[in-house]
Amino acid sequence: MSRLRRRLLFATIVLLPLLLIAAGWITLLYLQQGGSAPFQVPQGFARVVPDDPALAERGRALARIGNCAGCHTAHGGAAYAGGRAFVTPYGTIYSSNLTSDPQHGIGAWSLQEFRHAMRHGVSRNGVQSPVFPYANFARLPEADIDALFAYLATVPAVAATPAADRLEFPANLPGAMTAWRLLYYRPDPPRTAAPANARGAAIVEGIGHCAVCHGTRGLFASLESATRLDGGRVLGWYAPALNAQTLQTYAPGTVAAYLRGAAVDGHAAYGKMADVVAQNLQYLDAADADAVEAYLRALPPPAPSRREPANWALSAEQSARGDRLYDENCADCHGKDGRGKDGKYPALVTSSAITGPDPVNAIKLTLFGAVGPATPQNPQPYTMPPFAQKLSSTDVAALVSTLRARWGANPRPVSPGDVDAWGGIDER
Amino acid sequence: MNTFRYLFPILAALSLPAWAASAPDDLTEHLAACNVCHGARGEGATGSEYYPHLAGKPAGYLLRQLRAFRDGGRNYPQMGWLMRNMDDAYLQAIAEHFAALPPRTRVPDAPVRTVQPALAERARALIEHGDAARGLPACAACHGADLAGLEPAVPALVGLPEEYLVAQLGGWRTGVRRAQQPDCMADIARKLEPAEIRALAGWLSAQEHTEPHRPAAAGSLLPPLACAGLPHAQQVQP
Repeated sequence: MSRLRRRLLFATIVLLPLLLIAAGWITLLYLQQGGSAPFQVPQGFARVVPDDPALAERGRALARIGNCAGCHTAHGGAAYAGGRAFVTPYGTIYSSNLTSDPQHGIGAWSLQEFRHAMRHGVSRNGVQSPVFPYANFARLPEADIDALFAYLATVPAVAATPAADRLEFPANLPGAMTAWRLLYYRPDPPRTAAPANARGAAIVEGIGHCAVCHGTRGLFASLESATRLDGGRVLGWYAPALNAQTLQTYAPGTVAAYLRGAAVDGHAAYGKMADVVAQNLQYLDAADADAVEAYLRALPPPAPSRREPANWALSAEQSARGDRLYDENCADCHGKDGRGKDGKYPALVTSSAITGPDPVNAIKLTLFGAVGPATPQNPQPYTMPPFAQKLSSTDVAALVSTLRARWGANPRPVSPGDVDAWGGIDER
Repeated sequence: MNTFRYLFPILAALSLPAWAASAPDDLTEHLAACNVCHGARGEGATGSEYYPHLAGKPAGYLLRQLRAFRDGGRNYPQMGWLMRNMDDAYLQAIAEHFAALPPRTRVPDAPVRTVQPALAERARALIEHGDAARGLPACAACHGADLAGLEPAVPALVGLPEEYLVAQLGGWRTGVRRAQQPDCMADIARKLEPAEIRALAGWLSAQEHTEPHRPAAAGSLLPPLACAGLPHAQQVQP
């Protein structure tokens, strides 16, 4: 046997199985993200916009709950013309133009193409980045998607193409979005039966895309599921876990009232959630808000962690400083016992900023203060003062650590370095 | 006099419902966030290098500033953060709340600030006479002879911290602070030299009224420049 033949034989014996394994793995990934269907963008359908004002009006209401304009409008720009920048660890992504302009917007799309883009995140413009929450919109009832299509057809055309994305390695590689889909996109299995609370599911899992903030993210911003709401840090804030366990401290009806912009016992939305309530959720009608509350309260809590809880201890100095700062700065409004006051100022003993696993919200609120959104349910919200001018990072660390140790679950103490790293203020 | 004696109880009775209706709207408890920088009654923080007082400024002026913080004409992240989800109705109520508080007066034991005589002279010349050659009106022509402001939208200039005044005039020069067009203060700030801004800020920050001065009544002064939303001399006498 010549040397060449020996080498070929060796290569076949060793490499072929490896190639087969790789091909099998890629095929498995391909099937897990939905097979070939997502990449087959419907073509050849005529654009038919239903002449149905009631349907368009329903689409408008859905778009408002789903914050379509919030993402697809640049600050100070024309509504739905896109161009809002999303700064991610993988580069800056600009939202697209959804106006009825046939060239720059989606005014030439067929209903079939729109449905496909909403369900799969793939359109004539290619595979979209997961900033577009198509995993959630895949859960929308088809009638809701059709209503959104009818509404967007009424949005005045704006002839402007948003800036091109500026992605960073590895997201800037050719085929990166397709590779991301193969590795991380796992559509939730289709429902086998209508859910018990169809309206709540359609809002939370679908148009409301709550998991985008309230889900727990893994590698490369992946979400295990578009329907689990186990909590996570997003855009500098902690979005708490939402389930039967985390909501049990809130009386029946108060979650729905909160979502619609009320401040029950002083509990109003703050941080990023204040924006969501102000721009979107205050427009939920009462029945829908009740359905959302019922849906969230029925979610099972995640399985308890198997890791041994760490046994943290605050230093006596930190704890004494925290106690003193609370009495001097906080107790007037939140009460010596942390139970709030007169329905005006919220209790801290039940606040997720204190009892939750992540201290970042308590740090930000202490530094920069807070105001609930002004809504018809709460037209003149109470305001919490900022303390950045008055308290040092060491003070804030001691205060937050003390309160979380006092009323929370013995979490890791916050360091002054954490306060400096996480305490940035949000700007428009 | 007799007429008054009979009228007075009637007037008092008529005004009672208005008073009773306004009492529950007192926003003091709602606006705890403002106290830290602007004082418990909007009088400004004693000894502050920067934060301006709010009490007694015209409501129209305060409303415009609150909206600018929310919408982007004034860029101060802390203010923008607190305003971002407030609607115009709440901002109007907040503006009226602070406008109704007694205007700031000299804090009795505050140290007296001195200004170099040459700078004080330069500042006073601009405040009282302006500089016609450069198209600069006197500050007093719009802000009032006592510099206590003019209803509905011209603020008081006395009692403000020096660094705040420098930052505002500097902000207008660079376009960081913007008002509705015509933005007369931006035009004025761009015509001032940096040394004049420093002189004005130094002199103004050393001035305080010992008695509360309310802004002059609307229409009692006719500003010589076109400013957004205000009547001005050229409009009235073309």
